[in-house]
Parts: sequence; structure tokens; C-alpha cells
Amino acid sequence: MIQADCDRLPNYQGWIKPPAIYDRCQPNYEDSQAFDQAEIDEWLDQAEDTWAASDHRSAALEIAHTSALQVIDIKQLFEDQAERWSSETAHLSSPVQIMMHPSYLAILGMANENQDEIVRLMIRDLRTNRRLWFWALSYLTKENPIKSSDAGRLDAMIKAWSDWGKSRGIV
Amino acid sequence: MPRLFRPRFIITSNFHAVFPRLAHSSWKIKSPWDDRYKCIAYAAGRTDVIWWPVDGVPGVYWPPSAPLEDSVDAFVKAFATIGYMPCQSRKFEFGYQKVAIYAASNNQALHMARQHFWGRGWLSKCGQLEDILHSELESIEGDPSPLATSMGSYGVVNTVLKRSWASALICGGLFHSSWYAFRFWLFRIARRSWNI
Repeated sequence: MIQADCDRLPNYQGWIKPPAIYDRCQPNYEDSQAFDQAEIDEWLDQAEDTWAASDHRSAALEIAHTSALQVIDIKQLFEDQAERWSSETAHLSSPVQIMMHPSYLAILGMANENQDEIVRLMIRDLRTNRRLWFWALSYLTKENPIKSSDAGRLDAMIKAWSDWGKSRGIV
Repeated sequence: MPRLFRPRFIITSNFHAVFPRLAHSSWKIKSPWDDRYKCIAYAAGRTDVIWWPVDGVPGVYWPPSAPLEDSVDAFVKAFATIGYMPCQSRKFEFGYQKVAIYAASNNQALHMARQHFWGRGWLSKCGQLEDILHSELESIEGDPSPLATSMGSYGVVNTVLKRSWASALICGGLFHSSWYAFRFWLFRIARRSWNI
């Protein structure tokens, strides 16, 4: 996101590009400071010193702050989409209908680049909010820890995936 | 939380938002919110398991002898395993239990409702939401086009099945129906603060 914003910056002479922090913005919600804050601060200081007298000073600072705020918080994205998905499919029984919801597909799309993190979020959400991530989990992990005798029994299925996550150190 | 006792105004607004026709018909709440069973299991008389026929999808139960597809025919065959046979009339017939299959225009089954034991309407478990008793099958119908059903519509009633009380007795259905009615009464007694 930051990199994309930076790419849109006009090519003013003397502008200092922000640090390439995007690649390091790993979606680890437990570490909200996954990017290097010191590096950003250093960049901001440098920008202030360099452009103290520049007409572009305020614009540069505004873009810098906006970019910092736009660091992808994958946990928040996941929770927003999951909440929307569960509230809009709560009246449905058909897994086909449930899995066709745009938010469900969006979360699966998020897993393309962040599969481990999405699987972790799904298992935690399964345990806390009991949302039905079984199909997505099986699709992403290519595993199915649910015994055939437990099929359809929600509590047993949640426990099976929870145990699976624990056994792999995911949760 | 497997079971939630939501207040009436939240339940009502929730259902009216999803099923606009309910706002113009009489209906009652018949259970707390519960995510451990859904409509097909409830129609079959089960509240401890989720039924749905999807091959390769873990986490749902389906009678082993029934086809693993979500067509109306597959549902008819699944319910034949517990004594149901197709019938023409939706009206209450003394001595019979009835269930209705809602489907899209492409014959994809989407929902089921069970007739009240004494014919006082139809009981539906709408996904994870509360069980409701609605007077008409049409109350929760929606657009049957595949596009609409992919966006959450229940489609329209496609097929009605029935079984005799004797058959229900053999399969445990009579006991289940009585037990659910009694259990709802117990919920209301145990939770007097539950505003429904």
C-alpha cells in the first residue's frame, strides 16, 4: 500500500523516497510494529530537514503520515470480512450459498499471499466465534482432521481443528 | 457461544431484514439462537448435527445411502430413509407429518421446513438463527432465480413430503417433536428475563 502510494508521488526534484517498508509489512497482527518505525521516523525527520523551506513540505508530511496509517492490518481486514460474511449468511444452511458470499471469497483471496496467517486467524475465529471455516481450512491446508463420525457435530469439529492447530503450533 | 438468548426486537428486525414477507404474516420464535443444527437436520428431527449433501465438504452429515448432491431429488431420497414420501397437498392431514423443500428454479435445494405437529404452521430453522413457526410456507420464500439464491434467497417451495405418525414413531420423530416443544417451554421458564 505504501509502495503503491509512493509510486504515485509526483517526481519532484529533491524528494526523498520513503523507505521500502512494504515488503516487511508482514501480516502479523500480534506484532503491530512489523514495519520498522525507526526507519519511518528517520525518513520523516529527514524530510522535514530537507524540505523545511519547501512548498511541498506539508504535502510530503501528509502523504507520509497517511501512508503509515495505511499499513495493511490483515487481522482487521479478516475480522471485517468475517463479520460481514457471518451476519449476511447466518440465515443460510447451504454450504454452497455460504461459500459463495463475496466476503468468504475475499478471505480466501487474502490467503493467496498470507496463507499461514489466514489459517491461524480462521482457527482462532473458529474457537472464539464458532464461524464455519471448516471448508476453507480444508481447502487451504489440504487436510481434514474431522472424523467421519463427528461430521456435522459442531463442537466436535471445532475441537478437531483446534487440536490440529495446536499440534502444529499454529494456535 | 453455541446458544444465544437474543431479545425479541433484535430477532424480529433480523428476520424481517432477511425475509421481508414475514413482516406481513404471523410468526413466532420457537427456540434460542443455536449454531449446532440447521434447517435440514431440524426438518429431519435432529438438533445435534448439521445435515447437508455436499461431496468433499467436511463438517456436514448426510444419510449414507442418499446421493451427495444438493438437488431436490437427493433430498427426497435422503428423507425417504426416515419414512417420508412425496405428496401433493400442503394442508395438514391428521396422522401425518409433513416437510417442505424450498429450491431454486434450477432444482437446487436450499431450505426445508417442517409442519407443526398439529398443523399450526411450519417450523423453520433458518441457518444459525432461531427456530420460528410461520403460518404460511410462502412467508420465507424468495426469488428462485439462481442469481438471487446465490445471494441468500430461499427460492420457492418445490416439493412437499409426508410420513405417517406410525412411521415417525418408528424413526423417533414423534418423540423429537414433543421434546423440542417441551424444551422451548423449559427455556422460557428457565430464562424469565428472555424478552420474547
